[in-house]
Amino acid sequence: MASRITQEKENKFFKKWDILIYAILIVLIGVLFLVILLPKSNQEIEAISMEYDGKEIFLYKFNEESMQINSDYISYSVEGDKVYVVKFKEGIGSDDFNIIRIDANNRVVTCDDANCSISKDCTHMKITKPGDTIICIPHKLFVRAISKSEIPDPVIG
Amino acid sequence: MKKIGIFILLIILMVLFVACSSMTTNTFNSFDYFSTIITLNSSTDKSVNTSEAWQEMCLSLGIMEDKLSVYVEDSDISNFNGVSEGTTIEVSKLTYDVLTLAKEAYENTNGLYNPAMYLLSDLWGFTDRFTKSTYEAQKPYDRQNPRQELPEDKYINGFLSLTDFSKVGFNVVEDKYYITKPLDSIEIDGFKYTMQLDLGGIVKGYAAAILKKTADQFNIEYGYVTLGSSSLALFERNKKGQLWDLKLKDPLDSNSYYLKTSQSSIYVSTSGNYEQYYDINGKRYCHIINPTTGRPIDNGNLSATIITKAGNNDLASSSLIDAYSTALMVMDLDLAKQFIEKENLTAYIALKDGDTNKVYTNDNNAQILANYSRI
Repeated sequence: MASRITQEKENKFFKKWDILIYAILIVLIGVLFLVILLPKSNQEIEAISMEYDGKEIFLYKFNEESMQINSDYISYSVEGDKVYVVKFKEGIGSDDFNIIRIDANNRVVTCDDANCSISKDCTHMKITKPGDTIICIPHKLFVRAISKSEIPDPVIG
Repeated sequence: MKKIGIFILLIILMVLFVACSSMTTNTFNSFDYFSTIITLNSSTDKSVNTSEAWQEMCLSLGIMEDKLSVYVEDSDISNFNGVSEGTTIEVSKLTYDVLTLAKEAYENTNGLYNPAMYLLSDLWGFTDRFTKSTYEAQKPYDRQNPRQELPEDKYINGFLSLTDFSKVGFNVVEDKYYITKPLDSIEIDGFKYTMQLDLGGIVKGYAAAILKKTADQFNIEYGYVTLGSSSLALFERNKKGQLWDLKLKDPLDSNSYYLKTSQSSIYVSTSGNYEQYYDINGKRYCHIINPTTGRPIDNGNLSATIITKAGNNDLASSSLIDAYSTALMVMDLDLAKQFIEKENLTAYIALKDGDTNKVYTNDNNAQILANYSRI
């Protein structure tokens, strides 16, 4: 009789801990879902990528303040505090150019000047958030913001 | 039993973690097709070969470009444009299919979408040769500076007389496809002109459906494909079934949006007066030519966007909304409303009424973002 009472007490003790462990696991799963699956609000631009004809020729990472230049078509100068003026020339010796200004402090990228076209103009384009692009079709230049989170919402027009 | 339960939960946790972290995003783009940029943004399981899918997409785009582009020397469309009036040429099934859709759009819009407008587009300075800084006046109707000089009326009226697309002959004989150029021709200053086609107003919609089909074949479920700034095939957003915030660019400020709407699995096409234009003496001349006047539209319309659900006759529906978005830009608002209702479309039209910016849409969930008032 005494041993039966002890056994029941042990069973009860373990059931309480089981519930606690299950609860912790469920909370953990929930936290993981929230962290990984929920879309991030206030997406921040992590980097600026410049692509020529589908190939990345320039990358600037804001947090690391690092610049990667993968082409002779790119040159740059620094103007003021972390303001980089990047010049793209489509082909060495070519007259075709785009001037891209990266304001790293404010994470704003603009196209200051270009001679791409007489009927299309990319100099009014600006990048301030993920999904923004500067596109120069005649020069096959594609400048875009990169963010760590999921694909930016689509834009049309 | 308890240990088994905990073990199973741990396994579920690990599987979920691995599943969540195994999604990867990719972006591919190309400037090689349709004189614009084509982009694929995808979010897939790591096992999906998105590079191969993109290569397949480029292959399809290349075939479409080769057959349908007015800028490819030996395309079916260039061949048609190059022959004399009354001549019949054999074309690919692809060209025939797209032309058939173009004919449907032409008829449904009473000619306000018209694929026979190439001569007028070229006259007004909105074809590819004007997009390079190396432009030189070559044709009899060219101006030295087409951004500062308007074309002569004799060319506008003459070219307008060559745009009756209903006169193009269609014929299929034993699985071979033929089109016939109308008998009309004109002569101006000793130069002869005949009808010239350009499928640029419909082909990106057609291509959007083709690329979506390829994405489906490669199990790319999440993401989207954009064709320039005018056509879009939107896949699902994520496994949870959340919707995208589709944003429509403000025609008056390309760095902001005038409207957003929550959507998924749709095709989108837009047409606007702000992508290609020039101003002479304070008046804007945009690339959308009114097929009834032969002149750029001047009706206050700024932008017209149409969406249609994917999964129901995609090639036709995506192509037609591409053509219809151009037609909506030509229509006045009353006619546009009637057309939208008749064709059962979901549409968004931004327009300028005096000094007021207005939006018409039949999407009740759309949210107006910029300085526009809803009609």
